[in-house]
Amino acid sequence: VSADVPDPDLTELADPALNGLVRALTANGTADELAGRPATLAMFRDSRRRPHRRRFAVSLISAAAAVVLAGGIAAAYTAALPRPVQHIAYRMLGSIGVPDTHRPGSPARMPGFTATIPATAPAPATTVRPRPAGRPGAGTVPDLVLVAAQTRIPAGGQAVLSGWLAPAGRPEAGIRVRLLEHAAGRPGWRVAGTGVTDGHGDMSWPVPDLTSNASFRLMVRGGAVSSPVFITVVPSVTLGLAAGQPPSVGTLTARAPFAQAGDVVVLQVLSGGVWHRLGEHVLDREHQASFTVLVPASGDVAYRVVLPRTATHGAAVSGPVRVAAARATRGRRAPP
Amino acid sequence: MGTDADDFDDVLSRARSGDETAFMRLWDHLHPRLLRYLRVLGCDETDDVASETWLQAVRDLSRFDGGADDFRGWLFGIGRHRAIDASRSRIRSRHRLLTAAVVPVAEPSPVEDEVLDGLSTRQAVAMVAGLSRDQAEVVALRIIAGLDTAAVAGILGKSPGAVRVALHRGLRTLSADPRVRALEEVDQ
Repeated sequence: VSADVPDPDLTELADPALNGLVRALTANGTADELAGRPATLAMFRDSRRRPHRRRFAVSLISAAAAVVLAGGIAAAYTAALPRPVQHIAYRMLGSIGVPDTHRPGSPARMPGFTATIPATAPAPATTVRPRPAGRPGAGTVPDLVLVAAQTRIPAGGQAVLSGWLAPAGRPEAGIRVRLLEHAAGRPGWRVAGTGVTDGHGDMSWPVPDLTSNASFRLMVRGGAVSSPVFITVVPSVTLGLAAGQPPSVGTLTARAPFAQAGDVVVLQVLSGGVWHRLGEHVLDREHQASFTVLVPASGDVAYRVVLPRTATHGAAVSGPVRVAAARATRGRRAPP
Repeated sequence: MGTDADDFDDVLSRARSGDETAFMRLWDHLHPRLLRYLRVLGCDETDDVASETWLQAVRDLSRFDGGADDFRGWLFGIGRHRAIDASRSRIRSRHRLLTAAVVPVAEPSPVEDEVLDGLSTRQAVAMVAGLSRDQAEVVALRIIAGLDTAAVAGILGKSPGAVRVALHRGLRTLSADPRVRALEEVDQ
């Protein structure tokens, strides 16, 4: 085939078999493919509601750029910039030695800091209704900022949240700050902990035993509320195989201890290099679901389960499990 | 949504101005194709990568300037970059996946029948994914994404001639695949 070959008419190929392939490739979306429609619509609406965030981000970057261009590199080197701008300068110029004054989750940044977080399951707490986040005090520098070291954590794991209070870019020490939590599937915000800012205006909370998605915000009494930080919790999901009766079938059991009873797990099979959906079951009260599959006459077949994301947790995928030919599952030693 | 260019341009224009109905018509039309393209690329987390692609598209939609064809090229270009980012962040072997043996099911069962009934599009995507990387991506961008040769060449950084050659070779390989014939029989 030479490089000056003409473009084929893909709407009517000479080979009718290829036309069938084209029709399959360009078919309308399936229910599976369109399953994310509600989430996409919500994302689009959210993006329309919050154009100020974008302007704010742009203004921060612009501020950093302006500082750099105006000779602020020296200020950045000495960490003399407002903390958010210093952090951006670090992101942009860290490779040439500009320090970061904000290191989320870094214990070294929280000397003398005290915080109280319940280590057990959330108890009923005072429900508070945060007011909308206030405007940043200095136009481009937010008063109160909350960040997470990781926004996706394993179920049952610990999120580390860090914040700083710096009205007009100046850190304030000794201020009591409340950490608010809105757990997915539960109404309202509750106080998850309190802390006092250190000399840098910093505070940090390890939040242990997170088992469902949650949003967090900081609030200062009578003052600003930070933008929320959303933590996605990812449950583990495993797939095990047990020989069935008769031996021509096997039982694959999916287990997802941190998922909820009633959550769906999808069994997939590897075929042609692609994972195909085989079927789905809901998790029972033991957080398990079983699938009966055929044992192949020869070779093996790889299966896995997918736990789709829900409002309370992120998506998870098990490792693959291979169902080998009936001879092997009966325990006969494979020939060398 | 139909593929009529004028209709697409009108819907795109309304979506850019914030019309959520228009945006969702774009999504309904292009999202399934984006997912299939990502599967051809061997992307493990197609839903997540596609979501990130749309997130970026929504974020930058107001700055997008172009017509229907430009939008498709722009969107699939974003998807390609997001897929590359995802593959870099997660060690995986596309080669291993693409060459994994296809094991025939020993005998039919209800659950396997359920799969086979709705398999034609998935199987077609898997067949394209089985081509060489260059051919697979060209076939996917030309057929699934509906891009013209120049747009594909721009996305892949190849010459239009190289794109045409890869497309011809890919289609020729697919045409010789007995599963394509079987797919045609199923469709009829």
